[in-house]
Amino acid sequence: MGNLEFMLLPFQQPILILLIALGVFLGIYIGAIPGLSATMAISLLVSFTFSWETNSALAIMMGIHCGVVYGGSRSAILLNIPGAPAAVATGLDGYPLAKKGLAGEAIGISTVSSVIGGYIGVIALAFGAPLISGLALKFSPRDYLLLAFMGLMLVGSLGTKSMVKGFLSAAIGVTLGMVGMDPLSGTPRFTYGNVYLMAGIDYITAMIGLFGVSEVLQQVLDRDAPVVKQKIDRIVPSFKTVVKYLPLSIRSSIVGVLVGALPGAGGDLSALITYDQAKRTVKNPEVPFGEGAIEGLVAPESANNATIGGAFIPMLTLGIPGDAVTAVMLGALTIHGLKPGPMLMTDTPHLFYFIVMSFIIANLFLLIFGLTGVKIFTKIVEIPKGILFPSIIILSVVGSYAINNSLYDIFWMLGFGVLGYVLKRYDYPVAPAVLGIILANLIETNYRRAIILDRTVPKMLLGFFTNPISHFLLAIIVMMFVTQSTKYKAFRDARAAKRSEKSS
Amino acid sequence: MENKTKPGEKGFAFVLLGFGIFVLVSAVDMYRQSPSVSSYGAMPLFLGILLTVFSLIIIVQNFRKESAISGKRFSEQASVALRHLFSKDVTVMILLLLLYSIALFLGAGFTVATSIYLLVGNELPDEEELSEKCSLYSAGYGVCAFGI
Repeated sequence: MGNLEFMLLPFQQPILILLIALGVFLGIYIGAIPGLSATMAISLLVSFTFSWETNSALAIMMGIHCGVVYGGSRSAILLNIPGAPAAVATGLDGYPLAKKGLAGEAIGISTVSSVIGGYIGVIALAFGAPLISGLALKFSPRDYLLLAFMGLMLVGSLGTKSMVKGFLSAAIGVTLGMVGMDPLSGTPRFTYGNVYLMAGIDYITAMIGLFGVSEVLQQVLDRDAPVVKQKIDRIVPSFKTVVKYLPLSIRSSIVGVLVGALPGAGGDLSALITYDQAKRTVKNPEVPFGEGAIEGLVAPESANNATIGGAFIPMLTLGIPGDAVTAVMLGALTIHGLKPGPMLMTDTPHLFYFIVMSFIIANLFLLIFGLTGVKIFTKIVEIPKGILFPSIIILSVVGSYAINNSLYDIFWMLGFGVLGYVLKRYDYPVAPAVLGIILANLIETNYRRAIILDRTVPKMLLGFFTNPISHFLLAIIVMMFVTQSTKYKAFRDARAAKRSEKSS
Repeated sequence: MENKTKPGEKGFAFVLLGFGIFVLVSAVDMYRQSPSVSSYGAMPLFLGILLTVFSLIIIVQNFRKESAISGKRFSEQASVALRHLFSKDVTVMILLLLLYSIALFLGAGFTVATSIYLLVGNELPDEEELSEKCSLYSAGYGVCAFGI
């Protein structure tokens, strides 16, 4: 009964519903503008909602999160430019549909699929999180250390051209996270006598710089790209169409939840996996994949929205973010008094159920806003970059200043922005660096606790093989490492080539 | 894997190696003060080693690849790499942001500084207008800061 009361909180304060709606609305348009990612939007929002009341801040952030992940699909369909990484697979069949003049239908079906995926993700979060939370209480510091490494390894290796570059970026992040006073003994590290550095590097400032400013600098390079004008017609799909694709939508959503629940794997990966899966399993699509198959839209769109709920499970119950967006959300929740981890369900169950309800409401608004206002949307996507960039820069400046009311932070943000830009220019991913800064404390405290408990490094390492939870986590890490190695990839490609030869 | 590196990519790997060595040296110093595997210097030491090793791997990987600027003199290579990294548009954007931050820091006030930033920054200047816009911008901020 208590949990139901917590869930009904938004209905007692209608302003919260309005904030969720506003978040979804803004999220759809932010997500649709190429270059404005979910991570960037939420990291900027964190600093603005810093002084807000917790529920209001959570309401708008949940709304934005849902909206941004969906919003990326619109520009993918209309312009063939995915607004967000999670929409990369959507463009593969969405854009060919738009070229055939079926953009309205594509947007409609992608909206409905996203909402179905979103609801399946919420169900998984509501029922999965309490279970995982109970299990997480049995985790030792050693297991947390393994979990954090697992998160870093996944973010570092997935979606990047070079695994080493991903790991290097993660190591830079963890090193930056070490700046300041040591969390256990209070000894200053890497401060070089600078008092300002004693408090450490603020990760929100780092996030704004690495995601926001660096993205603007990167986008400046192709500021002369022409703006494509679009025409939109009917977008609400028929009931028959929705029912036809429902099994695929449910199947893809389940995969999305599972991928999202893995620390480090986000919506982009789940969308690509389910697209590939749909391509293999759908026998006779009306139109071949890649030429405008509806199945090629349904699968990734259901999956990437289901991933949101899935990614929240490890983030809320273990304190390990599922992907870069949830890493930013983790920081936001911590600022607002939530302590993501196994005690979340015991200490702050009201906030957990509020988050669940916010997602439910956000998905409802996603359906409403997703099927309407497409004409206004096309205008927003056409905003000249000369107006867009300075606006993002000002939001970044205000955001980084607002965290500590410190003008020094603006210079830090600028520094991180340039660093992020240089890293991106040479294909070093920045998400592992941000995740590293956030997870640095968790990694270090758990490593040192584990060493203190086990007394020596060999004993700690031996513990990985004797404790069943550590055993399991270590097996996953080894499997991840093997499947990402070039030798395994070469073996997999050779096997796939043999298969296709046989079938042809 | 791509077989060509971007201009300056090889040099950047050396910069990262330098950072790794710097972290490693600082960490060794910390570790010496408290030599224990659970001390405050243990994790930085581990990270310093990781940074150095990963940078070396990248250097070796880059070494096998061709570079678009190989065969040129070092100064030429450095200039091409810098131009690749900091094109005029990007440099102007960074400079504008730096000036904006300095103006805020010197007390020009958010409203004034932001108005000027928006006025100048809403249209990125062409190469010919570059110096003109930058001087206008600096002069605007200078006057404001002086006035306040």
